[in-house]
Amino acid sequence: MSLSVVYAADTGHVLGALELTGGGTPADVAALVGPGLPLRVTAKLGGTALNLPMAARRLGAAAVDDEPGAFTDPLAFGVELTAAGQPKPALAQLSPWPVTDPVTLTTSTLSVTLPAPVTRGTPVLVLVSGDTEPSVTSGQLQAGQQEVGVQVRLRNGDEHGVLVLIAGQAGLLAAKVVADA
Amino acid sequence: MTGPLRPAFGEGQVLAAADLSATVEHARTAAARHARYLHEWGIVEGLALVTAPRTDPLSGARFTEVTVSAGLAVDGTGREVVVPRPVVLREADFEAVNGAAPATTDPYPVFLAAVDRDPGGPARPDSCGAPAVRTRVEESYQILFGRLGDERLVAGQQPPSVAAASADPPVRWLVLLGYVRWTDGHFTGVTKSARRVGLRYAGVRADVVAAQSGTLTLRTSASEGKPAVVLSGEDPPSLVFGLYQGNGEVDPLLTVAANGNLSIKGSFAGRMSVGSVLVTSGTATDGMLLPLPAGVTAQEVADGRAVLHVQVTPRIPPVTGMQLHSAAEAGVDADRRVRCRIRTYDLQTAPPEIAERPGAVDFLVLAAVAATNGGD
Repeated sequence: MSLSVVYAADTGHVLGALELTGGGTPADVAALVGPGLPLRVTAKLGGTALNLPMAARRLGAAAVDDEPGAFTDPLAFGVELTAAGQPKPALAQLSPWPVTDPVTLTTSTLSVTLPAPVTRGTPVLVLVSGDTEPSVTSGQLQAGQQEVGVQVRLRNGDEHGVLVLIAGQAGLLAAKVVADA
Repeated sequence: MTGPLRPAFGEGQVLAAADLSATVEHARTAAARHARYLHEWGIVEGLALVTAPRTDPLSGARFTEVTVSAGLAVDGTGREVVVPRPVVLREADFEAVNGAAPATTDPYPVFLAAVDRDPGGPARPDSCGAPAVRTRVEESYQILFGRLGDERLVAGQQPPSVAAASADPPVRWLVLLGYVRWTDGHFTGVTKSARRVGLRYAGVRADVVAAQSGTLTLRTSASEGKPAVVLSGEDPPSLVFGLYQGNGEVDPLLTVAANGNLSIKGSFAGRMSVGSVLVTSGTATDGMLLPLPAGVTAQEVADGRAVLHVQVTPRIPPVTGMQLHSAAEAGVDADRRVRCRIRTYDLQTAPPEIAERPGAVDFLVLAAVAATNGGD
């Protein structure tokens, strides 16, 4: 295995990948990203970068089997753990979203509707960019729930970077303009 | 001053006791010189402080019985000191030296020294009617307890001169056997080193060591798994560093062949020579740190001993349907962190919708050793 990935420890989503020619890639978070992974998305209004840094303590690292798709769309893959808590060598292909933009962001709520209710407890991690640090919300959908709702306090018309990670679903990274509630 | 006098005898000579003693003395002195100058003094075999748990029958207190195992040492005068059987250390002997010392958990040194003793038994009468004399001397030993800090005396001992005859009785020369801990009137433990003074083992003084078999082996221990060096004159010759396997063989970790080729089983780390270039390459996504080539440290880069050249090439997806892609950003920052964004133009809308998302780069990191402040 020459591919190393860093993933969200809460949900398993792959957030970054590194492959060395000839193998020997490091598989610890500090070597791969340092103190954190500076995720970002480009604003539609003005083209500036909306930062969504993910602290190293929220990340895991794993050496996995080669997966070319991890470089083109890392959020479409996830790391699964064994019963012993160790990462499995093969990345899991996560379920794609049937709609192109399932995230709604208003002045008071960020909401995401899943294609179907979850059948078991499902970890969720949501980041919304701010003026300095992003707001981070982690939780769990209970079996039968279909919608993620996160309370926010944003100004109408502002633009924010949004990262939504729901275990089993492909991750969502987008710039969203805040709509009136 | 004359050189060593070797006794010589002639036919009809009447041998006096002094003649026979001189014969013995010549051999003793020669042996001591050999031990003194061709070897380093110290413990040769055994003489370990061995502990066994005991319980005081009166108080019920648990303590440790300490025994010096049988063994051999050669002291700095060249005299052999033989302990023929295990010896239990006497607490009364310790108290005689340190009984008045304040209680402490610091360990006390234990020494071995040579001593001549009368072996006992009746003296043999002289057949000519002269007074009876002792005909044997037991080359014995004594075990001594030192005070705290007395272990420093060991390093200050001076060997006799090259022309000195064997001393009779022997000069006291302390050989450190270890340290004992003392609590509430009993020994409670032992240690091999204290206050940065440890045991000294016998060695060899030589400028040339030549093997008879064609292979010379140095081992740190007779135990399996311990480091060893083998200089082999067999065909092909080699120098091997490895781990002793216990059967006479060494599992090689590093081998230098006769043609100068070097083989190692582990990784190589060390100062790079000026002008050498180390390389690593691969693929990384946005936000990842690019690794340094193996053998290059971040400190070497930070202080200028290694100079980095980093080249990145964005991975631009092929045209898909009505979507075109280009690199909006591709580079690394001062931390060697990848910064890559891919811009997508969706030509299905008018005007084309433009979006950007994180991308990946193929990278090449070259580390060159600078000519200044650097390697040889």
